[in-house]
Amino acid sequence: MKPCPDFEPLLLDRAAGDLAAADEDRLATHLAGCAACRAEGEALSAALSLAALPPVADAERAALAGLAEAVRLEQRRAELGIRRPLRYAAALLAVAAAVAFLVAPAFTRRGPDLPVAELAVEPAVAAGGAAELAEWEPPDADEVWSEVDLASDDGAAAAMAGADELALDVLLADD
Amino acid sequence: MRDDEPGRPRLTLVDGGRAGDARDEEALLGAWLTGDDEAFGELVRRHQPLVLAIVRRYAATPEDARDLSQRTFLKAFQSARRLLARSGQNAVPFRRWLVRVAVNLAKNHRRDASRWTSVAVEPERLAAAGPSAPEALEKAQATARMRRAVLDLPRRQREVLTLRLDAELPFAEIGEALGITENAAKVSFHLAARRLRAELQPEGA
Repeated sequence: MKPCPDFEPLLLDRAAGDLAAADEDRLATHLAGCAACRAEGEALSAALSLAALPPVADAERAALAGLAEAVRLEQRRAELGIRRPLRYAAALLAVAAAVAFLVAPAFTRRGPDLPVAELAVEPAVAAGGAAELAEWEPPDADEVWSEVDLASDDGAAAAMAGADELALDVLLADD
Repeated sequence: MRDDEPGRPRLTLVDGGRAGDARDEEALLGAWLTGDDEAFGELVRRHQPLVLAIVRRYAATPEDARDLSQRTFLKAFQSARRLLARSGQNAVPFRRWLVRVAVNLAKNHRRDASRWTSVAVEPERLAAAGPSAPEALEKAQATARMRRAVLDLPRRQREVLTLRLDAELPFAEIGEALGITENAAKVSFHLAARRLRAELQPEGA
């Protein structure tokens, strides 16, 4: 036997423990005279009762002992574990970028410009230019490096802050 | 893991909710952001019964439930901190975050079939927990079958049903946590209950 369509939603509400007070009397009156709805109500209650979990056991409560402290420690460990490598990587990247910025022109700069025409017409000048070209040396990378002020690592700090944000994004991406 | 180990920190469980709490949740979150460990501990203690209620159906052992609970809090705190830092305080309903994270982690845990042997669906262990009579075994088998049926429900129905049945959340809160309306949550519960009822007593049987 199927339950009455008008009352099935009320039976489900009652099984969910969500039956409105205004509907309680109406449903009770109906159930008194409808065996099909009574059977349906009992079956729903039995199914949900079997599906429900038993009350939390002592062993489950005991297993949660110290959870707050464990979460706090794990959180700090996770923060450190993420930040340290990224902090070092960010600092290294910042230094590498600064060095590349300063040193790269030395490798890309050409020697003194000596027009080919002048070399052809003025051999003396051309010889002088060739001598100048022969004497030209790229700047010493160590000298360039020593002139770079790394006392302030604002750049590295800024990169590090960005890396932290990135780290959190990565960490929470699978939420 | 024993609770009576010497030196082991003891935790007194407290009921969830705000009643009787001197510091409300927003204040606790604010204090936690400034490094207040006591506020952090209070947030965990306040919500751990709720988190346990959500995850225990998916846990094979109490230790497994603890692991899921711990991961839930970690994720929720990390997410909350990021959002609070970006949008200011009062922007994150922490309890809702916890429910959502716990549901997601439980779903992933469920998906991991290799670890999935829940105490909740083992008839022998269910029967062993009660009187050793044939009826007890029969009831245990029915219980195990019904709890398996819960896990086999479509995802949304399973989430709504377990949040209602296990965590006893109101449908309005279930809807908020899952990003659906209260009415949609009720409908999902009704569909789930109908399925379970059919599993228990198929029509025509």
